[in-house]
Amino acid sequence: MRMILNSEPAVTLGALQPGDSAEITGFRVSGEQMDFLIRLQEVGFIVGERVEIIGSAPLGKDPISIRVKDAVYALRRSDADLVLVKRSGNS
Amino acid sequence: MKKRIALVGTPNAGKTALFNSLTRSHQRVANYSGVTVESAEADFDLPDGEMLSLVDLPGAYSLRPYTEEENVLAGALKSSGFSGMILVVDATQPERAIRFLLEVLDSTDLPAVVALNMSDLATKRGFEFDLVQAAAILGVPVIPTAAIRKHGLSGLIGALGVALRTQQRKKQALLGAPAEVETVEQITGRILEFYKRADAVLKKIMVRKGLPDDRSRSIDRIVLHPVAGPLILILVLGLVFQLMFNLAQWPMDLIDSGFSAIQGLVSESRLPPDFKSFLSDGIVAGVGGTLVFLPQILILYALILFLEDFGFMARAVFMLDHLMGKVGLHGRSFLPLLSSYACNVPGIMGARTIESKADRVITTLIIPLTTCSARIPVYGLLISAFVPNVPVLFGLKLQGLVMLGLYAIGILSALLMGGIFKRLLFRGQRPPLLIELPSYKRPSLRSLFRGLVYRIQLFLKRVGTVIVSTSVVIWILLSYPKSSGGEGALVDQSYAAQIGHWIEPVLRPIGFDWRISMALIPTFAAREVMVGTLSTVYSLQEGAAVSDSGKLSLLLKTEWSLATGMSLLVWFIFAPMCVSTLAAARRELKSTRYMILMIFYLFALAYGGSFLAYRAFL
Repeated sequence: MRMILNSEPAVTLGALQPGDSAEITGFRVSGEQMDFLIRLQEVGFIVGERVEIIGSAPLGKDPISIRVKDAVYALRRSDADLVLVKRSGNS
Repeated sequence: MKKRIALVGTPNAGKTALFNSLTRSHQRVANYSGVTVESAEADFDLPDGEMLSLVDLPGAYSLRPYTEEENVLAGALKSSGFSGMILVVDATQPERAIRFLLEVLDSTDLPAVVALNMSDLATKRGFEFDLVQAAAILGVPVIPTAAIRKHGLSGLIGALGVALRTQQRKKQALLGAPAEVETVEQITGRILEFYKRADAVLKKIMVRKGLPDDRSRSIDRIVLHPVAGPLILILVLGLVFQLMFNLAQWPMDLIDSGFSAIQGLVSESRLPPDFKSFLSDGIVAGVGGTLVFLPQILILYALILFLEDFGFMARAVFMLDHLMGKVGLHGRSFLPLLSSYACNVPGIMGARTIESKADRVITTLIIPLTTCSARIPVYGLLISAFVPNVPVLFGLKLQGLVMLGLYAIGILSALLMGGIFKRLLFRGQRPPLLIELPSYKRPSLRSLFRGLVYRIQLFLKRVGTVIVSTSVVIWILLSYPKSSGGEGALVDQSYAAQIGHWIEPVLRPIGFDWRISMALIPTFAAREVMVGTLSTVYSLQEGAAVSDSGKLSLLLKTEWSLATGMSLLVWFIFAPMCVSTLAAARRELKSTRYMILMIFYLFALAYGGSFLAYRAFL
């Protein structure tokens, strides 16, 4: 679909580790998850936005907490894999 | 007709705090037809003395509904029920808030004022706003507020008064009205466009000097620490239960003796005997039996509200999601399940905050397996009758361990059934988790109190109607037909006794005779009534009052076998003996089929479990 904007090997948001920063480049789309994808964008996960992985849950290192637009959200890694990113730094 | 004003904002923007600070303390529950989400509504005055009504609509991230609660907001704004609105914006998260603000302003033409809330915090964090410029660009007044400190409220109300009289806004619909069916590209385009405009607006009205606030991050380093985090969670939960049981004891005794006193007054009055019995054994006993748990519900709710306000509950969901996912549950199910330990009804009502239908249904279905306080008197009676209080380990006594075991069986079977329902009903679905971890805030006592009052109102409204009507039906079953042999023979020949004889063959294999079968009937109004019914039945049989539970438990010990006692104990873990819970489930899920499934599987578990217990102890 048109929404996949980058042609580089994709890094997904769900693969990042606490301390990593990245820029959102696009989304992996599948029909069922459309509503969720729209909601992600509504709360601030939009193309071009910078995100930072703040931490992960104590058990299983999943979900992860992500800072975007002055707010912090918790997402499961599998759900965060819908978001394609370009790594821009890590600690 | 009083004008109604809508209070609109994103979650965690301090909307409810603003509602509590603006309005008089008397609040009502506002209902919308066809939906199950209620909003609080209360009055406030304009400077010119006109009285208005403020409705605290559910928070939302967008007008495009994603949850049941957001549906309510979208519907309410489309309705013609409001004369104006107060838009609450979190000044510490300006981008997301302004995007939502633009979306709302764009889609309605109601007179509006903006409350730039938490402006004190925003100033501390280095945000500076040009309010004159903001009002000019947005076309509505922008008033800085700090709801909890009650700053800026009179300015806000004044501006609202002026806006209601003079403001002329047009629905801008700059992006065109949303079509009925939109493609994802169109929706995404709309979101991006609003963000672009929000960005442009913010560039003109805001400068940012400070860095993001790091205090919440530092707290999270401890609260979400790999080792300390889970320990803190366990400690907090342990403390919540400890407080719920210990603090509630005294007020519960007080309520109990209050209702006994009312029953005493009724029996001494000169009313006709039938009517006396109706009032005392029907209404007062039914209502009192439920109200007695109000202190526990209040304390549990107060603690949950406190932890939620503070920001801890979102972290608990964050930490537990992985674990709950293992059995097919969603992290969001944690809060409803926790609330249901005082009473299952508010737990089921709390499940409405879960976004996905699958998780909402599963959570509701398993809530009756959590040990609500109504089971405690029955557990207490049966344990004291049949379990010897011998020390077992480290000074722990057997009776306490059995009680703990009953709780454990409850939660383990809830988790197990959750996994089974997931596989049977919603195979393969794993609805996503998206939850904001808000910055930590000091909870406001006033908000806490108002929130508590509101939830209690909801609870009483729900339970009141069901309990009263069920109590009446059960009283009739126990009191009619009238026998000729005087008071003594009354219960033995009642419809309830007939039903008891009638269902005895079914319950015989699990060790229940017709008396127990009969005593089970009134427990549909409230489980704890079992204790009262048993004492009535055995008083009549013994010819002497068996009023205190000590005597009753001694009597049960001689009348029943150990196997019967254990079987009944297990029965109360599982059996769906509470009409209010069933009614709440049906209403919240808008489905009779799920309610029937709930009744069926709970009876199946109860019967199977009791059968095993009966055989094991026979």
